[in-house]
Amino acid sequence: MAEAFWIGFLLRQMIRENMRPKIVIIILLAGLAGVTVILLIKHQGSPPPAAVPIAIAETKPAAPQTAPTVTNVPPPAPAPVAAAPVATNALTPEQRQAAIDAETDRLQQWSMNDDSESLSNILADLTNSEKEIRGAAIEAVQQFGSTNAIPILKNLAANDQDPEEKAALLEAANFLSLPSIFDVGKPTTPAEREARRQAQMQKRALNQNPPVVPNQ
Amino acid sequence: MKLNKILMCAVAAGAMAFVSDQAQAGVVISGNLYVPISIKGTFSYVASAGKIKQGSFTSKQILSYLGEYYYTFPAGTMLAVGPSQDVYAITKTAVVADLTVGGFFYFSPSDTIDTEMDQISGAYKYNEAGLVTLDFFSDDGSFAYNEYAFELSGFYTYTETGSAPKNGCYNQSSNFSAKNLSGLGYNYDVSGVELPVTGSGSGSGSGKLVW
Repeated sequence: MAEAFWIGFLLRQMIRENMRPKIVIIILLAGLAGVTVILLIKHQGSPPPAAVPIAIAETKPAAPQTAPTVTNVPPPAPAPVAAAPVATNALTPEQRQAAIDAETDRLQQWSMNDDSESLSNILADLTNSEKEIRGAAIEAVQQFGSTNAIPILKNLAANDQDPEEKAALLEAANFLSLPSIFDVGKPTTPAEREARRQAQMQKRALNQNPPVVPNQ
Repeated sequence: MKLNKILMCAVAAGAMAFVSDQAQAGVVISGNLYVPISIKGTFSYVASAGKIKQGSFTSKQILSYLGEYYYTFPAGTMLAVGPSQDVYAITKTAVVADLTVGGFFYFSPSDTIDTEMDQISGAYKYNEAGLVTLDFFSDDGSFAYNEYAFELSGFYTYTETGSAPKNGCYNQSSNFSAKNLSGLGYNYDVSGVELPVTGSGSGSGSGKLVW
């Protein structure tokens, strides 16, 4: 309240001295300026006011509606048994199905490759939480055609409580143990293979239904 | 909608031609839907006196064989059923070969029963079941002229669902399954006679199509 005291003191002095209005105004303005300076100095020493929480609208991009949340980071080793990550619980039925479709699509792609990473991805999906994906993985592992998957399939079958899936796993292991018909009975020596190849090429040259030239 | 109709006339939205890794199963190329299929089976043959053995085949092995002698297949090439119910070799973005026109592969479903449930919104669910034949010839339509061949047939089911159309498009999901196929085959290296063959085929695909 020192400020009010000084303003009152100045006014009283001005009345006492019978000053002219212009001088009074100047003195008053000077007084106000002084008061303002005092107030500023006072406030600089006090702690800052507490921040007021302001609701700020989130501006993150919306997640795509049908984006599959199944992420499958290929493990480095070709024989993982850990469950593949699936986050389909929070999805709508349509989104869940889309995620399953997308993973099935990837399995189909991996099954046509020959690299260990693709095999790892397929093996990881054998323990996926979605039964449909596990079924697609059993199909894919047979298409991939690696005998390295046989012990893993047998191991999973031994621990599988679902009799249908257990049978499918064992059937897949058995299928992979069979020789390919494209290898059965084939000549083994290079000379035999070359002679056979020549015979095949000759037969094809005589074929009345020549193969179509590929599109690309 | 019937399987044959869908595969013949499905026209896809142009954007779907660019199929990303996140895309749904199924491939849309040049406005047509291709449903990737997996085939596998076994040949039984006399390995030695008193002993019958089995040899396996898969669609991957068949593509590998065709790639060795007839085509140049890019990595990841798949078998698929597409327009006119032909069997194609495709990648995710291109058709590599029509194997039916080439005389190698034939896929012929014939529905015996079917049922469709439509909703006012335009969404629908269609089921059919019947007999399908799946034939492969490595060289010619006659067994005796082939190195490998098989003619399989059996029961199949087909399910298709369609979403309510939105902005002139809808999502179609197709699922084909033939678990117990059987028939005869031929393997030049193993026997001069026909061999018993069993097999299965399945495929699924979905895509955004024009209503």
